[in-house]
Amino acid sequence: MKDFDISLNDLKQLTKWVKESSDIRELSLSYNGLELFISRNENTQRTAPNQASSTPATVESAAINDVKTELNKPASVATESKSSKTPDISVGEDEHLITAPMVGTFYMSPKPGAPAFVEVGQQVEPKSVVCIIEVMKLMNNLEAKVNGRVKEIYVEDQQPVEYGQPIMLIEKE
Amino acid sequence: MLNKIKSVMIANRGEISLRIIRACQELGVKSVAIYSEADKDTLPVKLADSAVCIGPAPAQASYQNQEAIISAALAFGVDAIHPGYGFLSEKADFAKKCEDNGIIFIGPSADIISKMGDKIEARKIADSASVPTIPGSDGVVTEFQKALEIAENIGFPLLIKASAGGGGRGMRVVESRDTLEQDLNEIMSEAEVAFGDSSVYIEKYLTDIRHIEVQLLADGNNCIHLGERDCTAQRRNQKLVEEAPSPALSSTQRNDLCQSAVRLAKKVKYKSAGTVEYVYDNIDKKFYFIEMNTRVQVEHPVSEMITGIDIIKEQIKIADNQVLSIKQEHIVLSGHAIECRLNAEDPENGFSPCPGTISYYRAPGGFGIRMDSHLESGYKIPPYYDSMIGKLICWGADRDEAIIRMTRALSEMKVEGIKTTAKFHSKLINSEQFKSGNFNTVFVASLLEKKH
Repeated sequence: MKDFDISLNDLKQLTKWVKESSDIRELSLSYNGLELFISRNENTQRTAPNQASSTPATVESAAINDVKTELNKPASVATESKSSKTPDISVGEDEHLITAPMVGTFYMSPKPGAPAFVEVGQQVEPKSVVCIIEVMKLMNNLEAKVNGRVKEIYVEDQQPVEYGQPIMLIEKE
Repeated sequence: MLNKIKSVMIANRGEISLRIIRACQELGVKSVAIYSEADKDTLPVKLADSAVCIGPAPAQASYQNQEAIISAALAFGVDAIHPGYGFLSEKADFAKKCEDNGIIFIGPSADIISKMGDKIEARKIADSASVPTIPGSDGVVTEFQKALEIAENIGFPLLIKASAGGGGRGMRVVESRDTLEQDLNEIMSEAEVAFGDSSVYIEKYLTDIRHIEVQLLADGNNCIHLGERDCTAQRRNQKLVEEAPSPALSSTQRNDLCQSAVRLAKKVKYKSAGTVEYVYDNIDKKFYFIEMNTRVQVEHPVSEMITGIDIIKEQIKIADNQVLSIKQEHIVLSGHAIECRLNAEDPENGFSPCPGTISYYRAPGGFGIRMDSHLESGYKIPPYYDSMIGKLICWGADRDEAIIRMTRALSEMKVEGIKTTAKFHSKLINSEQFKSGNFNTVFVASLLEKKH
């Protein structure tokens, strides 16, 4: 987050404001390289709190529940280990590799049950959102950055990702 | 063995990360190492049950990046975070973030960290627990007459510090009564001009001191000590050699010192491993509290070697909310232990850091030898972090044997490709003064002067 002019505190203020404004359902912000997507969906929250819908908009009230669910997540520690790390990926000149800019949780879609942002073969533009990385309840949108077509997706939905982990390969056009 | 903690994320690097991973493995707890891009191929990453890259090489973006570490802990679903030493180990706000996110911080509560981290607050707590503090003013003094009175009561030499000063500014040593009024007057008006605040602290100025500290284990109700460590052999406030027990203390003094540390910890219902630091005045043979370190320390192994207690494992069990199973009467101090902090530095060249690649590494071995290090042949020391490459700890039946064994181990060890402080350590522990046990905190500086 340190590359952005907006501090984490600013974002917390923003999410607090969204939380207190009952007429805001979804908010998408793009500012100086930072993208923030906030959505509230109380019903989905209860059934699948790990999904992208465990939004910052409800962060204060939901934090404790969310944490418990995180902790109960089965065996994520044991299995995500060395094998998943740095798979050998060769990136060609006409390809663009999207890597995780921070450690967090990867989401394919804006909310549970919703269609994925992108699928293999799909056309993307530089501004196309391809996935979300959740960092401490904050949803960070990742953009394709190039014109092209999704060639490969290396990470499964809701999987934890480490810093620099390859997420997606885009074939530039 | 543990109830709540099934997995521990180690928010550190190098030898201490490895030390904690080993403790986790023996406790049957999953260990998750974090690492920066610069530490990708290091031993902790290889030996932990799993490892997570949390950021690029600079510590600000990785090992000190609180958001990244908490995010990693939440995403990878760990129960607890062990901060090691340095980095985030004494950051109350980080402990608070762990608490707020339902992650167990392996250390005391955020509240205790900030209390003990505040020197004035800590001194007040020490006073209230009848732990001796350096004779001086009780907080800041704003009135000249009052300051004069206090100074005359303390005796000479004494130190006057502008309360708004720092980094050596606004400090003066007063040698005798003759110049006191003038000195006090000057420093107070200087402080008024420089900082807009004339208030000062006054304390006894100690010139011939040792640095002695007490290792504690406490579960919130019970507290035991593992004896003291003597860290007097320092260069520019950096510890070079630590030993236990201290060669300076009588058994009565040792008992008084350790009991005072236990009183302090009990006063704040301390819960974790911790260390109470003191200065010991060689002239009047008295010890004075300086601060409490609310984390595990670099030199903790020397206490482990003379007590047989695994401090890290005990610390994790306490964080798991277990009652301390060791009683004070179970602790027997046996023999003598010495630790040398080996740095990738060139003693011939002002101890300048020497990052580079270790072309060959041979660890020392044999009876009573312990090498806590993340070194391997081919390991590349990155320039981003501190220069410590490992700790060599030797146990002996007595101090003489520990020195001989350390000398033998230092010459057995080979670290090729970079400069290290190993030879300097060997000279230091074999100097007449170190061998005599009779020295103070400026002894290393004078040893270095003699050489040139």
